[in-house]
Amino acid sequence: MIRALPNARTAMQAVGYDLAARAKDLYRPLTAMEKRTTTIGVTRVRINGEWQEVVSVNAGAPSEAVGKLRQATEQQGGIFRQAGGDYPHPDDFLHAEYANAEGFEAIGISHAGGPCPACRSYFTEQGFGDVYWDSTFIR
Amino acid sequence: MGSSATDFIHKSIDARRVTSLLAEFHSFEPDSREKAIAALKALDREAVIGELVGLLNSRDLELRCDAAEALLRIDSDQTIDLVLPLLADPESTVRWATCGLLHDFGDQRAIPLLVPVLLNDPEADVRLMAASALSEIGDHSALPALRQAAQLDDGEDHEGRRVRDAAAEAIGNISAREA
Repeated sequence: MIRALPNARTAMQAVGYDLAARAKDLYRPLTAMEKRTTTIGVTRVRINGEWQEVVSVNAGAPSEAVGKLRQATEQQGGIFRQAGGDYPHPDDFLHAEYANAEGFEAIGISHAGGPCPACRSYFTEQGFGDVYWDSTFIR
Repeated sequence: MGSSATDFIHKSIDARRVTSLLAEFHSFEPDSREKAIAALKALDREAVIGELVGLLNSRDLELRCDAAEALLRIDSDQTIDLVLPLLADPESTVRWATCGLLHDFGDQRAIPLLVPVLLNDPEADVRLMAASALSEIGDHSALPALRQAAQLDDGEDHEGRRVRDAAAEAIGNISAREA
């Protein structure tokens, strides 16, 4: 089941569902050890008129998972960014980096529980609700 | 060649086939997992389950996790009892992944084994995953343990998700289901 933050916009639902499914599709192939400490965020941004997928992982993700996800993303023409600095999680990182891009709609994340408490607080402060996730583990 | 030798060769071929199909679970190619599951389902059911049960005791923890996932995806109703012992696996990653699989594929038979994981596992993220699994498949019998965790468990996973919050959410979900 796909879920979203309480203030998600109806107009973003379709793209949000796609992004949540994409995040889970990238999460599923990881090993169990990689899954345990990896959360993936996915968005799409319009740059110079072109929509591009952007995939991010948490700053603490294992390097093996980072390498696999970078390769899988870039092979399909997407942009890969590992979160870090003031925004160590992929969802707040993607928002902080791309919310002011030419085009930015929603974020999908791989974690079955959705954004962590700190990211929920961040999104509340930002007034942004278009964060979507698949509430299954890997189904 | 006697029948036992023929059986041995047949089983050896199946073992290699099964492990190569499990490796497909880790491919980023679209539909690779679904194709691997379909291929596993197309093999002789008794033989493939036998091979996968053997892999539940592999020294490779990832193979144990993959075998558990395969068994549950093939037929969770038939195989859940085979997977439940992994909740007591010496490797915390296996216990964590098993809780996750039971979240997705489990049923009420898992509750009595998830409750002690929630209350006693030394790793907070394993307890959190047990709470999440109970949120999906739990019933009233899990409520006392969940209430205890909601009151007392300050553990967090790597992103700061708290066990007590997951337990409180599970109580709400179970109560809503059983109302």
